[in-house]
Amino acid sequence: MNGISVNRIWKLMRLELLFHWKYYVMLTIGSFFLLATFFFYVWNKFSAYWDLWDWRDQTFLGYLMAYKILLVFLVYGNAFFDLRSKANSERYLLIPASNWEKLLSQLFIKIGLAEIILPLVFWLSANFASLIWVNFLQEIFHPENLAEFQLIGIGIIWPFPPDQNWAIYLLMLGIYLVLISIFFAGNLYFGKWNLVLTPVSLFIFYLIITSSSVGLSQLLFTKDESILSFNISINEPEIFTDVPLMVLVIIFLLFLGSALSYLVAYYRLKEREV
Amino acid sequence: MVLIQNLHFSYPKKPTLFKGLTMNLEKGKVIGLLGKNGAGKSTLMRLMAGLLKPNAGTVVFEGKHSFDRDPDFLDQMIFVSEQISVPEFLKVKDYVGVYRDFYSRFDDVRLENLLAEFQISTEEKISNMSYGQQKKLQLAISLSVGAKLILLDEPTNGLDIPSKSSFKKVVSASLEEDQILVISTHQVQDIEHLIDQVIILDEGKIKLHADLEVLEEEFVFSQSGEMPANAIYGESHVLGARFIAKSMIGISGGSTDLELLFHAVIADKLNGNYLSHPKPQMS
Repeated sequence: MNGISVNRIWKLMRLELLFHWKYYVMLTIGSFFLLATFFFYVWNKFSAYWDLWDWRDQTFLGYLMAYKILLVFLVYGNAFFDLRSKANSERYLLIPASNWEKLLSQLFIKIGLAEIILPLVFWLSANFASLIWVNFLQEIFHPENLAEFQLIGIGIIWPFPPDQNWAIYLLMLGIYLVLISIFFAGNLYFGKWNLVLTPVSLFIFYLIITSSSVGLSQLLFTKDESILSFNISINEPEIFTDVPLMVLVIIFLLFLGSALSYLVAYYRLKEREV
Repeated sequence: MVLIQNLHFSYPKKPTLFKGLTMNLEKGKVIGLLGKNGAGKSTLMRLMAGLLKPNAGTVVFEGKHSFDRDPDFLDQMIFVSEQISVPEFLKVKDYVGVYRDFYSRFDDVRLENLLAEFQISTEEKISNMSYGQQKKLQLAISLSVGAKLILLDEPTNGLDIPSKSSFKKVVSASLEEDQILVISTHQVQDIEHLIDQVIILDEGKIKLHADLEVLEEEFVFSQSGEMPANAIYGESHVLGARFIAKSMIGISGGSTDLELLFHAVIADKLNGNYLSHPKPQMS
């Protein structure tokens, strides 16, 4: 039984769905109807601006990205439900599977939900909402402008179009991966308070980094000026065309930070006592 | 075999509970772990189950450190806590299926028999079962997963009188030669005539670790109109006295009176090891 067993990971995923199916079903169905309701509201409320907006893939993309950030909280920030009570923790920790298997099963099921199922729900809901709006609701609400809709393509569910500068693409992906991994690991530190305490911790971390940068810059470069007037040149040196070294280093640190968060989560799970 | 060597443990910001505790538990035994509230029974069970990490020392079962929670170890061990939590929205058969999935030696026939003995239907929804029935379900599962180490913490709490009798019956019928069953309880009458070995814990120390068979050879557990002069420990009651005395030629007594034994040990009138194989074996 040594090593990581795909079979046991699969069984753990089935167990998660069996024990917590209500959360998964409610999130999926709830997302569908809430998104549709949200679009109806936007189309009704802001129809005056439609001559500026074009309701095609690109218009929905912004909404999809906001939705995916919300999913980081709702999906990745809600893992390891069984570790939230003492009795359930005992049962979960003593299931014959390794800590890596337990961690990976949670991660895979959240990835499946947040990156495949719920984006598909977005796609379905947006198309459903536009069909209902165009064919029925416009006649009821009489918005100022009638909309021209195009059904959105399924390709929208991967919200980082690769035709951008690859460094920007990797930077955005890195930020997304770090957020996912931090909220996922936060479950093992803060339990049911994860959704509150992880953002608070990130904010405190941000304050420390910012204030120390500002403080150090003040000490080193701008003694006679305001503490906020300092310049760090992030555009030079350029390693590739339009890709400065600073951006590359940040991308590397983001990917490294994401990987380390999972390692920290593993040790936290391994050392868990009940 | 469970080997506990030089175990030190304390909860954060609490006094040390175990200081150098050493013992071994052999296969094929039903062991009663007795002690007052706060003696460390549940903590010791949790350390054996791998739910707590020793501050120092080792808790090893079949060569595996319990706190590593290695899948091989977990496949051979099951722990039933005093406060169980069973997902109430499931049917019995679905909940049982979870254990069938994960335990490599799960025995369906045994489970079927145990559920029949406890009068639990596999089609029943867990939310319709009382706490006692849920506990019986968990006990039936624990005896069916094929674990070599079964740890039951206060298993009879919440059971009615007929269920306690059923519990004794199924435990004695279900255990095999390669299994170790440890029952932690403060209700000694629930494990009388069930256990082979007794461990009495007091303030984190093992005051007595003994085979009941050896105790019955060494001591007499009896009662008479008045306390005999050679009694090691005795308790008076309306009709006379219950007592423990050193066994002598011509004097014999009944089976071990666990309650009396417990009081004698806690009162420091009797302690030590009375084991068939008293020397701990090193791994």
